[in-house]
Amino acid sequence: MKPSLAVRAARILLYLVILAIFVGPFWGIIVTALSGLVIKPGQLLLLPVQPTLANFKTALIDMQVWRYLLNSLVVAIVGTALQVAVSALAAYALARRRFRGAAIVSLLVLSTMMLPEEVISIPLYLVVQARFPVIDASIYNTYAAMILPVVGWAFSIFMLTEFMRAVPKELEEAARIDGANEWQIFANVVLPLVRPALGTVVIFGFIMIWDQYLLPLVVVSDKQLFTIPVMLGMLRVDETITPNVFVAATLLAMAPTIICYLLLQKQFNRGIMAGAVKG
Amino acid sequence: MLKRMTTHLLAGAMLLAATGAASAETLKVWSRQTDESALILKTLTDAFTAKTGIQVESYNTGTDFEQRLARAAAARDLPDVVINDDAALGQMLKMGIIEEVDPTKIEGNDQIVPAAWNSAKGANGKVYSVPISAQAFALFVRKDWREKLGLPQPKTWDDLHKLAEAFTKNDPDGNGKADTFGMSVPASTVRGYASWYMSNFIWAAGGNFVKQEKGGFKPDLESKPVADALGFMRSLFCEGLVQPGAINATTGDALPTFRSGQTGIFLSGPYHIAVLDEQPGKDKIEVLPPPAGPGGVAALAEGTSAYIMTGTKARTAAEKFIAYLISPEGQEIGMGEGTGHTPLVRLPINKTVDVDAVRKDPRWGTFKEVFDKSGHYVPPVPNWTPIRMLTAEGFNKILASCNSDIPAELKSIDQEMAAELRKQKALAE
Amino acid sequence: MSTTRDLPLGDDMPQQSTRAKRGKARRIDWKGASIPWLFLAPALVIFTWFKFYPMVSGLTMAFYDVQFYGESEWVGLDNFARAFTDPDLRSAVAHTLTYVLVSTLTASVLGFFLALALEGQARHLRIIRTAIFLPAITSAAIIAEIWRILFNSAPYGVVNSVLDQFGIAPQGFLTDPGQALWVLVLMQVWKSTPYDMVIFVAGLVGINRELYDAANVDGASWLRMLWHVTLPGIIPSISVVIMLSFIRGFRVFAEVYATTGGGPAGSTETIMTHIYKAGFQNLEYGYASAVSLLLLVATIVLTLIQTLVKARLSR
Repeated sequence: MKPSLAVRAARILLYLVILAIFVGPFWGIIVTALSGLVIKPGQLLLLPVQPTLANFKTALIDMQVWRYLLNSLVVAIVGTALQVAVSALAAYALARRRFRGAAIVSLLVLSTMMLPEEVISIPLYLVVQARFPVIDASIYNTYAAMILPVVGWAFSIFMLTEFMRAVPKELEEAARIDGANEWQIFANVVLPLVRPALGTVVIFGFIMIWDQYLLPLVVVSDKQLFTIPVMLGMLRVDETITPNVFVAATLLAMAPTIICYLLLQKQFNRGIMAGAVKG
Repeated sequence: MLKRMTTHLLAGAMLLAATGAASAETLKVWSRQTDESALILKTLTDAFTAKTGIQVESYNTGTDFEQRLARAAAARDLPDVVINDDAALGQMLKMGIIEEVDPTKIEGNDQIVPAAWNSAKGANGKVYSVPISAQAFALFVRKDWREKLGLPQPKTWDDLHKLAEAFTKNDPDGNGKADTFGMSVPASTVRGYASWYMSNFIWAAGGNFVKQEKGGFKPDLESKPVADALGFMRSLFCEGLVQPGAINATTGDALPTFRSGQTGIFLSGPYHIAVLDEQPGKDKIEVLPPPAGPGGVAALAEGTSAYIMTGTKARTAAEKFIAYLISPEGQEIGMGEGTGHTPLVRLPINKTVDVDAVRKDPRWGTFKEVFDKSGHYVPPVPNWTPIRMLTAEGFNKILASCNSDIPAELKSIDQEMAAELRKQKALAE
Repeated sequence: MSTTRDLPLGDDMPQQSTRAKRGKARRIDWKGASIPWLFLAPALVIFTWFKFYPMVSGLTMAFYDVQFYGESEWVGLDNFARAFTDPDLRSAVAHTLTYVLVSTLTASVLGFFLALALEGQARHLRIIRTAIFLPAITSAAIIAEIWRILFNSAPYGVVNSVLDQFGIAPQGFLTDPGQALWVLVLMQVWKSTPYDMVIFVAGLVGINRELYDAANVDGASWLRMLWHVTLPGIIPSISVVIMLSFIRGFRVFAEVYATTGGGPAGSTETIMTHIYKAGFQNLEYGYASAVSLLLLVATIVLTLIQTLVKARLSR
């Protein structure tokens, strides 16, 4: 039975309203960034006026947004890779092994998500600035200082823990009988089975790292190393640029997360599905 | 693979850290400035190095200066000299990060205008900083708009109100749309903007934040003049004569509204001359003394000071650097005339430097005149920052609601201020 | 999120059988016992270095009058006493609770209906679902900028122009003490509705189709099916949605600080803006730390309650 014309029209209208609400503002931002007409504070253009790419050029080249994008990419890519690796290992222990202290470890890790990061900014600075003995160097003012602290993220660990728990124990037992050691069970049995979940964790990890604002300010003073959110914070109060350029810079800052999401979208959805089906 | 990556990262990190280490002879200077104006500081330090052979490593940030200082203090890794607002003195003193300065050790200290020293003392009367720049507020007005509507330059609050009303209602930009407003006002509580801005009007009304009495200070906001000042500003808000969003605006938010032609009046410091000449344009704006309130003409006077930081190992070099900053040569470089950048030195504090001769721009003369004749520094309480914050909260509350009971609100701000002053052991009981 | 079970707080560690078997095989099996710790080691090193130690060190400050450069002074519970008597903190807590509860509930309800509307494998549905996920992956700071523009109180502001089409007078939005908090709530709803929708879509897929068929045969109304089949089926998803938005919501900061700074008239002051102003503008770090510690404890307690309630519900 095909739905009547009226029902279909109502449905299309509903879709349009939903799209206008959730995607409309982004449309306004894109059009404004592509327009030469300087907007007043509080204005957005819905159709391009004096279309131009000049705002992007100013943002990318004159304001050197490319440099900050590059820094952000280095931090986010390396950081996400390490974060997922470290989280997968930890999740394996928490999900597949029963041991004394597991509960307390879980609670401690979870608690790190509940504390305002501002409060740990001073101790974190001291830790990052501390010089290693023997080599007499610290990670302060390096990419490593922005990467290492985000490698540990409770959220990734818990997501992967949940997924790994769902892997049937029979598979593990079978592998053990075949003489597989712990590492082989982790790498060859459990990990491949949670691949869709890895996609989900990568997306959320990437977004989380990409959005870090306070961390770079605390662990880096060299402006050449600043990341894109820090740059946006400075551009926002920059008295020499037009709002259009700021909007263009904002779009550039958003692009990598959107690309990351679109690339991994299939895995992401499958990851979420898998999680749901288990429940 | 992972392991190799980590090793590389760590190795890279160490390399970077090693090359970043500074030699012992360099003087570390931090300045609370944005990158755009930091170029002038760079010119200054370069000239200083050329002259004395002392290397200077300068660092500036406009976004999180106080937090960086707090972290550096906790790590016992402070710079040698800090260039910061003079109103920050109390807070830096409380943090224990600045050292007493002996003015006689700074060459050229006798050339500093006496008024500028007012803001260099702590509550104990000792000198903790050396002023390097001063400034006061004046009124930027869209001359083209005003002339188009045939209105006079505002001399009184009444004129100001009329002008703001005309700019809002009479389509001064002639585009046929009701899309202009009278005045750009930063009334946010962030960093205490509302208090900082309102102080101009409070003094012009003849009011005060505190009364200095034997044994300390007494809150003094609950008075007719202060109520008048807030009542005047609130009328601008409630009649829709200020830019949309004024109640949440910082100066960073207010500036673009004047620049883009959304408003036609902007009370601000001389550091904005350069950006406003660019847009809306030099020919479109004029600089006028702040209009007189019931208590006459008054404006907030502030300055920038150089501080010597606790534990510095380069005290002599620091003193030499500060002496250079206040010398006629240093002041002139700091004024950055002709660079198009926001100057480090707004009004020179060195008597022998003539603003008009350097600037060749009568608008700077207006700022100087306001500073000399009508400038008010914030009261010398031990730590002004918390008081600025709490009064900003209070003023914001009054301005946000058109039927707030102003005297009652002022009374409650006074109570909070009394509690804060007691905490600072500066309340006259 | 994907998780449909409890966070592993230790109540349901896996496999009794493994434990029994291993118990027999060893007295003290040092090698076996160390294996989980080996897997945990990289995470523990990172967490200890960059999270646990700074956390403990930061929270100890709650008992001090922090002097930054000089010796901090031990003040015992003074900072906590101040927290419990601070009227500004009290209103900040009230604002935060309103913000968290209203935005969480609204977003879950909207997300649920959105999921019902957009559930399915058709291509256009997948495209729409992907597109409207955009707010969920945009950072809070950027969303704040967007909302400052959209909800500008000028008559020509975007939302005011739309309202004008319906004959509604321009609103103050973020500048009106009576509206500002609600605009921020709406912003949070906008950001988390698509997010919740994705979780619910996943949850809906997991519901056994036979239950619907059975209900259909019984002649159950749409509403009854919703109540008796759909809702129980997605309780695990709802639980995840609620807990995550609680943990995040209590620490809401960037969204507020960049739009209103806590104003107008303190109407949007939240726990975090209060902590930030105390700690980083007035530099009363000890007090900021004490309030943070209270926030941490409150969140942990809430999480535990949530876990217990859920365990009871699913039993």
